[in-house]
Amino acid sequence: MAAACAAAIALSGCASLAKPSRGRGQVLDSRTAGPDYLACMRANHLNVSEIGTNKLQIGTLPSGPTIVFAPTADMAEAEQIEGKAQGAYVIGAALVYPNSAPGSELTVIENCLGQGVKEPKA
Amino acid sequence: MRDRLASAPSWALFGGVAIVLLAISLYMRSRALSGQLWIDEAITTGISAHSLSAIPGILRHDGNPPLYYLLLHFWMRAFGTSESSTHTLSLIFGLATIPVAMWAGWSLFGRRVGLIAGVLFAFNAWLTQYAEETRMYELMALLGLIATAAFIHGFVYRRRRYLFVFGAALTLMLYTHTWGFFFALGAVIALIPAYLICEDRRSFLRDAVLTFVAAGILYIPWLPNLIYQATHTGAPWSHAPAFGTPVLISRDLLGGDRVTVTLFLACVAGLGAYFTRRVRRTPEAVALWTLIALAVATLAVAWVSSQFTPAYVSRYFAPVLPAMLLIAALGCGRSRVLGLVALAATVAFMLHPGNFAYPHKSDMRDIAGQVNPLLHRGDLVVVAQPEETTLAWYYLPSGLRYATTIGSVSDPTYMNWVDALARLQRANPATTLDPLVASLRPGQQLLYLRPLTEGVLNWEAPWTRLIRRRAAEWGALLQADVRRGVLKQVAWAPHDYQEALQVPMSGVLYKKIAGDLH
Repeated sequence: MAAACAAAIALSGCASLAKPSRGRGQVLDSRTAGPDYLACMRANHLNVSEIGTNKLQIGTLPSGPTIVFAPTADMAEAEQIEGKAQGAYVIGAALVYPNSAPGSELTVIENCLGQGVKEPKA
Repeated sequence: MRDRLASAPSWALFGGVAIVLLAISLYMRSRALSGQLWIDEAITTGISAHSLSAIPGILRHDGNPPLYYLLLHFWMRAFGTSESSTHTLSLIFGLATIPVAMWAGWSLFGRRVGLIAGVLFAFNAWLTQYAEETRMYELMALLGLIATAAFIHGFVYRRRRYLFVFGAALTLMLYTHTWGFFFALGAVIALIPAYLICEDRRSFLRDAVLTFVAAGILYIPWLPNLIYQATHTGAPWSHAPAFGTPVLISRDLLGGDRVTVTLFLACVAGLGAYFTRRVRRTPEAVALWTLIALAVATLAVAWVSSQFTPAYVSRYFAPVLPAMLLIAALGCGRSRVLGLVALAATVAFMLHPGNFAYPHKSDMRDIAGQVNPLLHRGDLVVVAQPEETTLAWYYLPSGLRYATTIGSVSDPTYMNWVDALARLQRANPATTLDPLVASLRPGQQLLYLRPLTEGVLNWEAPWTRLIRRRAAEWGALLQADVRRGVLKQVAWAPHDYQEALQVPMSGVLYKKIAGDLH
């Protein structure tokens, strides 16, 4: 039962992994494709670096927060439920690893990532 | 047929309609009777499980007056603590509003309005939702209805014997929920229309002073607790309201925009005449102004107060619901055919109780169903959202130890809200968690429960923002213990997560596999 549910969660996420391409085979970047989180954070004077295809690093590790974008909000939630992202909290499809960032910096990040997030419904 | 109805004895018509409405409403309001409790319900159940003498003292840490908790205490002793049992007490209060509303409408505005009021209270979305919730809101709505009707009788129609009823109902409201205080202030403001048309203003003022002062004197025993709660507890999970009250009323109180527009049109058609110079000072018109003033003033007082100490969510609106529905009943009753059409449409819009009754208010029962077989006496439950501790206690097996991100919890049956935000801010994650992990013997387990924080709205208040961050910080520390070989992840839940109406949780179970390596 557990395995079936886990598989179902994974499969539902996989279906969303294949995002529709924009134009000629361009893959959407979660960091900028919807609300432009990157621009929002930079507009708020955060020192943000893009890492790989789905990460943002604010400042430097180990103290600076890391944001990992899952393909969908459901997949981010599944990571959390299964204990695979215990050091993070979920906002929409973003997994925010606060590390030891100050609260004011996290508030800016949370406000940026909160743009366009759909509220979960029962 | 119409003649037969018109000539039917009042008691037969009243009784027959009431029985039919009660039967329909009972069906609608019991569809989710066995639904999962959420945070507030579990805390209410936990507090009420204490002895009668202990309940008032515990409530100093919570922030509510004691009446409902005392009633629930006796109810649980007689019928148990299951979800169905505790919800049933609220259901009874919710059903009781139907005949009382019929009496109120009938005695104030005539038979037709009384019957319509019965229908509106029988199908109302807010009453349907909270009839299946172990909280004081249905009781507050019932008392609010009695107080509202008695207020009009006593101060507008000057039937002075109702002043005792109003005073008693107001006192009980003050002992039921903090919004009773806002209702009392709203009622003082709502005296103005009746005062302006009153022929004997001196007698009116004397009655008003005596009634409100009597209620105030009866409230004095609880006043020290109120002052303590106001200065130390509050609702740090909430934030100051903006200007969304009409949306809250439409969506949550009345059941949606369709219902609101329908009833509003009936009110415009039926109540327009009361604005004319010829009619506006008649007792019935003044009763209408008083109902409007009562609802608006109560909301206004609560709104202003919530700018300083936030406590403004639609489930607290119970005291103003009766006035609003009585206005709607009067509007439908006076707009004749249009009113009946509006009433029929309103009923049709609210017929599906699934829209307003939620069996998945939380997911803790689902989590417990999966982890309970794995837990043993002495295992430790750490809850990242402190107020969820009582919910965990309710559904998890006995013999467990509890802690939150604030620290160890000696009594998980209630939430200690006293200076909670400051205590959470002071609690250093590493120095709080390390002794807890150290207290586990190899083989013992730690269940880490944390909120799912996908949305935005629930996480904007200072308290909830900090909870979300702390949950991750504690999670990171636990992961570090896994990497160091102190803990091992053995299970997670829920495997079949269904979105819950209120803050849902997830749980990861760790087993201690080595002594501390610090």
